[in-house]
Amino acid sequence: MAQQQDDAEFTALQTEIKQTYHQQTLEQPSAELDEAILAKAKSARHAVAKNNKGEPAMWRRNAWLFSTAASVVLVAGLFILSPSLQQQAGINLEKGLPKQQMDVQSLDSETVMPLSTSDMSADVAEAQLNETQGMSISADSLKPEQAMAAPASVEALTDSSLGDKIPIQNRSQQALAESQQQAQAIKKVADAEAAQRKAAALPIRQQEKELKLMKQQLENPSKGTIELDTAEAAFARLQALIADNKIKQAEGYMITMEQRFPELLSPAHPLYEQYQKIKVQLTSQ
Amino acid sequence: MVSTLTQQKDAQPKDDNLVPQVGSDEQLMLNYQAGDITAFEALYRKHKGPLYRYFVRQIHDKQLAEDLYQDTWSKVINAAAQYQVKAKFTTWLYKIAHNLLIDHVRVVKPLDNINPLADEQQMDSLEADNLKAPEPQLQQQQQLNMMKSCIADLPAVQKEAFLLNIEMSMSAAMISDIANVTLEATKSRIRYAYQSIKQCIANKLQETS
Repeated sequence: MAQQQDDAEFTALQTEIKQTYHQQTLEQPSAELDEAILAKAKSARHAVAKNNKGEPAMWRRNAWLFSTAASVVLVAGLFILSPSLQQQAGINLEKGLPKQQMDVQSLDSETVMPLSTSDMSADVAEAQLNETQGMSISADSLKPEQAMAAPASVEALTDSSLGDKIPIQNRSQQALAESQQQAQAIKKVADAEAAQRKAAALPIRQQEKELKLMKQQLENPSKGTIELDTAEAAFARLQALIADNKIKQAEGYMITMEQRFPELLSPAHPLYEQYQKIKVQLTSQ
Repeated sequence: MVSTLTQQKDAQPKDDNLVPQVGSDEQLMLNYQAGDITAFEALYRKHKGPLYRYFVRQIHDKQLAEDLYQDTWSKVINAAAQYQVKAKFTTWLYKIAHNLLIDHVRVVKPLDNINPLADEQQMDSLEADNLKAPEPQLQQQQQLNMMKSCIADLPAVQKEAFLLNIEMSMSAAMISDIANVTLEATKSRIRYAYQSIKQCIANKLQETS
């Protein structure tokens, strides 16, 4: 009851004061102030209307789509470009690459080894080349399983060392001698393989030069990169080196050829005979 | 720090049930957002007086009051592009004003400690002195001047609540939302403000008689 009376009194008081308050002259902002504010509102109106005009940009509406697509492209690009990622994933994309590219890569991997040891002197390299040359002549052709099928090639190596030790008296003795010869030949072949592997690892400057030259030619398509990727082209180059009387270069190149084109040492190869002749010619010098 | 806090307070209160009616302040603001400058002019005409007095009567430095008044409208204009009807326009407008007032005045000097306009008071009292033989019209003017003086003497929080109530007929709930105080505290402030003014006027009348 008292509360209601208080409220009524307060309402009456409020009404009275409000009436009195609104009878007075109320302050108003100056005309300059009005103009300044309205001018600001007018100048900002264009910006306001522009900001609210039309729909948001397409990329904003499809932000998720675009960001997802960009992420997929990025990841795929990284995956393709990074071989380590491919190895981790167990996929070899290079299998699908053309043979020519594979050859380039194998050549690159071959050139890495000599380059890493190129600080050795040329004389040492040359001496090592001469030392290993004789053993590496027919290293690939004299593999144990091939040695039985091709005794003629073994004879080229063993003729001088075994020739006077084998008496040619009868067939049984000859057969025995041949079997011993073959056994020794197999042993020599194993040694020659080891020596050839060693030779391949040796920093031979000439060999490096040849390999660099070949690599440059491979990397430069205008100079016919495919030619050096075939045994025929390599053989032609070897012949050219011999014709130019660049014997040392030819020797180094021959070793490289045998590493890269072992099929030249196969009797079935059409260039086999010509290559053997050149090899004998070079090794005899 | 205070600015950051008050900027957060400036955020429009969430009231999704509010739908702007045709011709309402909110609709005018949306029209201005769409590029209609006449809508802003209408809005400005409607609110300029009360808002101006809100500052002028609380800050006795007229220049500062006008600056804050202009700042308030600038904030409204700048926020127009992002304006969404989440509360009554009046609540939003006076919340901006309230926060500006706190930022610029209370941090520097508590409003309660600000003395009322001495010159104006002197002028009022001179006028009152000259009116020794008051006629009814002059008596009314005298009362108005007394009221003005009494309002100026109110404590800051009461003055703010009183001005918002008497100028815009705002409810206690709206004022409590603007001033960020409880409803009960706001009701008390309004009640005390009116009672103080009545008492003040009575005292002044007694003094003059």
